Amino acid sequence: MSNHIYSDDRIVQVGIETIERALNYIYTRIAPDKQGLDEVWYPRLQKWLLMVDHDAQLVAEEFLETELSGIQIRGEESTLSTFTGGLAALLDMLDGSDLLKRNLGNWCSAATILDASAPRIITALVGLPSREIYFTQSSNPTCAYVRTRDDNSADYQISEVRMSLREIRLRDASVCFYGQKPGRLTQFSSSTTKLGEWLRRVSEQAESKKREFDCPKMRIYTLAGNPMMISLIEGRVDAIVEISGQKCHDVVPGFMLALRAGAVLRDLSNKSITEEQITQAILSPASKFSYVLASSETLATEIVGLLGQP
Amino acid sequence: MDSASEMFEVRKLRPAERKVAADQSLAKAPRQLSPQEAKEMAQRGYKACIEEGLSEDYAELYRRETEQILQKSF
Repeated sequence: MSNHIYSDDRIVQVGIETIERALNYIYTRIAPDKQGLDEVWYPRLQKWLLMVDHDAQLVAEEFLETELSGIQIRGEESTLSTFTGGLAALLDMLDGSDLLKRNLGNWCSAATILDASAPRIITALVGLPSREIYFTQSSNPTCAYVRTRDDNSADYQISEVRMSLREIRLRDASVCFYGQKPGRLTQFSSSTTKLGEWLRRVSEQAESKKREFDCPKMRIYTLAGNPMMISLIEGRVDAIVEISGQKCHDVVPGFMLALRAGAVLRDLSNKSITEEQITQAILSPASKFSYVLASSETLATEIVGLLGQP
Repeated sequence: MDSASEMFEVRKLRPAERKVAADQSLAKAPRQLSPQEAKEMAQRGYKACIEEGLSEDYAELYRRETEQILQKSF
């Protein structure tokens, strides 16, 4: 039972504003004459963080609390304790801080706003460095949305976003996984004998068929998370794989957007991960997801098959 | 099939389909915060920094930068 006074439209509007303010804040704080990219030791979290990572999160929290009185907020930079009901938000205003620091792109500002009593996700949002803001609306679950801004006129526009259908075999697909840290990379590459053997075969084919029409086109990228999920929607990559588990703030906004846009989401036993399951999981934001997100059923099944036990 | 099509096949990425939404009520700039609102939000953040165990210098840098940024229009 909902116990807040705000309409869904109002909440989505505040969500979009929060993301836009965070992106604006990040860009301002990382200007050459600013200190936003300095790393600082945070006693409470017991870890090093970019100043801008901590501060953008704090600004977003302050803004949300101002606009949506009584909202409970969780985030990697604050706390991941379980929501206790009512209006709630899980924020990661700088997802991909290492990539921002190195100016490698693929970072984003992400948020999920939910009614933790119902429970239901009211909106999921991902803002990209391009300042495009992708979001979902409960009024139309058949697509994702994107808010763009014309650089010349400064006019905003809302568009519906649906993935283009594409059937692609794994041997020709662009596949991503989170492999930037040594542990994650080795965990993935040694995950199953089946996967290792398959990769060896494709590699041999790619070499032997180098000049042939049907040479495998597979590419592998060691990036995952919300920004890559937007890339999947936009047709730049075909699948994202995570075997050891990513926390809700790193995946839920992207999951919701990708599902609404038409992507296929499976767990590692090839069962669909539904919006209902995602909603239940986010109530405890420290929950993790192991998953395959793909542009088609066939591709998802092929990948899960290789990740299964040998 | 024309002669050009017979000579080569084209491969390209397939971006998402975008359709301008009928409802454009969300197509607007964030509201401009008043100087007072910006000041109060930055001040609350300052207190949060201190409560988190960050130094006063850090909290003051946060407050100063944040107040300035929040007052800017989009």
